[in-house]
Amino acid sequence: MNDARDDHAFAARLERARDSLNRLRARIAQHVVGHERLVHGILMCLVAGGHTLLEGVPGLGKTLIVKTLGQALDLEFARVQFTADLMPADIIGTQMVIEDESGGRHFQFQHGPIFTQLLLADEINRATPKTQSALLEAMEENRVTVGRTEHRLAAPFMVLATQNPIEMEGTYPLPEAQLDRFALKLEAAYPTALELKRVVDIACGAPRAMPGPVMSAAELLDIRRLVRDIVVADHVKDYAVRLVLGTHPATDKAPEPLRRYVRYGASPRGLLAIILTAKAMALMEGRLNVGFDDIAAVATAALRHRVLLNFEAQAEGITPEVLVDKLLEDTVVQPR
Amino acid sequence: MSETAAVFPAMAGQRRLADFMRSLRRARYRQLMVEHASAGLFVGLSVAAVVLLIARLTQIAHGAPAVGAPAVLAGCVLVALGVALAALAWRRPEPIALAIAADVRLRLKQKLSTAIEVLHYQPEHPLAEQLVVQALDARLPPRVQHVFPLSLPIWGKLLPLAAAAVVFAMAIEVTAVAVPRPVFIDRAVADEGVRLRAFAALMERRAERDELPLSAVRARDIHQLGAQMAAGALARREALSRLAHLTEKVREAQRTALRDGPSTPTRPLDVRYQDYEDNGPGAANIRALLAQLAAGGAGVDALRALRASSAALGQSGLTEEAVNNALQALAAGRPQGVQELLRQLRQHQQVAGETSNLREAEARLRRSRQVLGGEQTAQTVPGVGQSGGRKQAAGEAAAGGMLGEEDMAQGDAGSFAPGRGNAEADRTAAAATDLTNPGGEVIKPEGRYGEGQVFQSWVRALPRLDKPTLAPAAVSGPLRAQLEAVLSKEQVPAHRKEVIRKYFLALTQPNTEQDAVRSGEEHNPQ
Repeated sequence: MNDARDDHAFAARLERARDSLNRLRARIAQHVVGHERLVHGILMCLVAGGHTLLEGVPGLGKTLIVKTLGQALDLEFARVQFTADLMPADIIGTQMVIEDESGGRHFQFQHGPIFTQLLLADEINRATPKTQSALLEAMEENRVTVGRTEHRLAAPFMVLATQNPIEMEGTYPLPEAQLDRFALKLEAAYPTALELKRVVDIACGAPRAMPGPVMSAAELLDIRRLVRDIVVADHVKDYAVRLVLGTHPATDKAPEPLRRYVRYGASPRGLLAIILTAKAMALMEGRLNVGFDDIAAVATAALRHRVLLNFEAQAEGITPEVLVDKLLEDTVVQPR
Repeated sequence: MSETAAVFPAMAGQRRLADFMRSLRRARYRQLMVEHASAGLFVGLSVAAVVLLIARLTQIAHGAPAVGAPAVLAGCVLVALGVALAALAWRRPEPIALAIAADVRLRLKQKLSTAIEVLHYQPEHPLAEQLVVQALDARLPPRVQHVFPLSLPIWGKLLPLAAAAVVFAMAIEVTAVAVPRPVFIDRAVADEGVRLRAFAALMERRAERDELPLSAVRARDIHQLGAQMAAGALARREALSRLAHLTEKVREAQRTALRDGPSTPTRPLDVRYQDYEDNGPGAANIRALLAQLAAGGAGVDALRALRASSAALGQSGLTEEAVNNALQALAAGRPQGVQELLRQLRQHQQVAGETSNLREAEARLRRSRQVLGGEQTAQTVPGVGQSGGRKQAAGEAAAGGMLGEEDMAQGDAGSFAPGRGNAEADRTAAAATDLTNPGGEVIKPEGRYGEGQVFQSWVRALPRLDKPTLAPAAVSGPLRAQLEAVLSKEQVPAHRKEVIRKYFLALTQPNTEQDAVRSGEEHNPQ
């Protein structure tokens, strides 16, 4: 009977979570035209507890999406514009000499913008690798170490980074370790003509006031716990594992194009990203379990930045998306 | 009340899920059964078609016995079906595999398989019941036939092809396909086939009468070949090839008969069975005397006659000593010795019959080859033309085309003259006549070989039951010198040497009286 009560409680939590996420989606849709898939991916990352890398040409509304998300959530929001002269201390914070009332002076740590809950790292590839790496510890372990002191970050913590794929002059491509920290890499698509007209209506009309947030931090944390309870059957896990192993050119599971064009395959962190975001997707659809379709749906976004191409692939213009699509095509859901 | 209501639906849900899984398993079993049965049937029919085709081709090419098509078909199909259905027992579908397949077919997003997996492996999972409810809320169809539909696999679709192959193998006249029928029927081949068939019929009757299994088998082979030749189914080259093949088989049968025949100390050299198979003062008289003795009806005259015919005893495969011992035992009231002698005589008679028949068959086949122009030079065949075979053949030659009167006349001159056939064969046979004597073995050497008779034949010395102690070797030179050399070399008891010497000298110095008797019998077989 207790189990039955637990079941009902779980069902109620699941229903509440779906409602909250739907409200959040609707709120974003009021201010962002189109980009449904992008928003869906961001929300999956949000509830899965991952970080998101957004890529797209300037002016597509990437920053707007993140700012809207920050306003719709009752979370602390900070934005850092990454530039070539940005230093790690500008993100993390620094020790400053503080003079107290008695005239004495001592060092005090001044928190940087990373001490927030929702961090927008705009044009992250414009900062030097040294500055980019300032995010590594925060993104993986939700803490910052300055000197010998650890500083915990507030929960929930999420980094949403944007980068521009065409203005490569004076940029620093993200190192592999940094890329691997992002659960999903989402691409902003160019809006359609209908969407563009709506953009004109919204952006060129009277400014709208942003109503209050629709989801609190506590709610978000509860949803994140709920995501962890979503069941992944063994054969579904097996499918995800085969997908990740298939990105490794040295294994016999890799299709021929991947053996030819891939230098390094996805890390185990990529597998965790696939499973967690697939769980989030199942929860958002009101299911208690992850299916093959969930895995396949998130695979491209989770693997495209983790598959490192070799020179031959770059010379022939092969993209990671093509290879991941080929991998999905060749990997059967249930091996005989 | 509400708590109870909350529990019972879950239990009912598990029952519904179990029912659904049972129906899934039944549907999958039906599907697998159709797949396995189709595969088994296809393999069985294919194997049967191949076996039948090979059997028929073999039958045509080598005269193998006919194979029962229904039996082969039924056997192949039953065995293949049995194996296929036995394999089905090993392919037990797992519930999780069934659920995964159903999820994929019904697009259930793995709700069913996840619920089944959790129920099987983690029944205490906090979400187990929720997962069952979720699976049942999905679109589970009431009928699961379309999850595992009954459709013919590729094997099933190929079944008509395999069946057609079987019908083809059973119904089509393979002779027409396998052996190119000559445009014009070769009359010589057809005539020779008629003669061969007649000869085989006689040989078969004789083999059945005298209980000669080896002769019976070869007679059937000859009959089959003769029938095909007579029907015009074989071209001349094919007929010659088959004749040569069959000749070799007949020769092998002769060797088998000699090898498996009884061994006696009185058969040290090349003793031909038909030599002592003859009647007259030989085996028949001894047999009659021994039979009288065994029956207790013989008098003193019979005993005396038996002791007097020592030469005939040797020819009959019995030693004088053995006969004396048997007679002494009989006088002492023990007839077993005489009965044993009778048994030995019967064995000798059977082997003699086999060798005689087979030798004649070999001669007949060789003659057919000569007639058809396949044998360019005449070869001597041991024993042909000698009294035994010739005498027996005389009564059958008219019908069987064996050694007819004309042949026998030529056979007396020591050759295998072709009674019918082409001119070339006649010339070849005539050339052979100059080199052979009536025994068919002795040749008159010319030039550097010097004068005098030379024997050239295969010998067999002191055979045992299992194998001869002396390997066959060519013997040449004057017989006496050769005989003495062999006698001095072989371990022959001293008291037997004289018997052996007498026997072989009797062969080289034919008794004119015996020859006269034989000659009379040949012309009056009865």
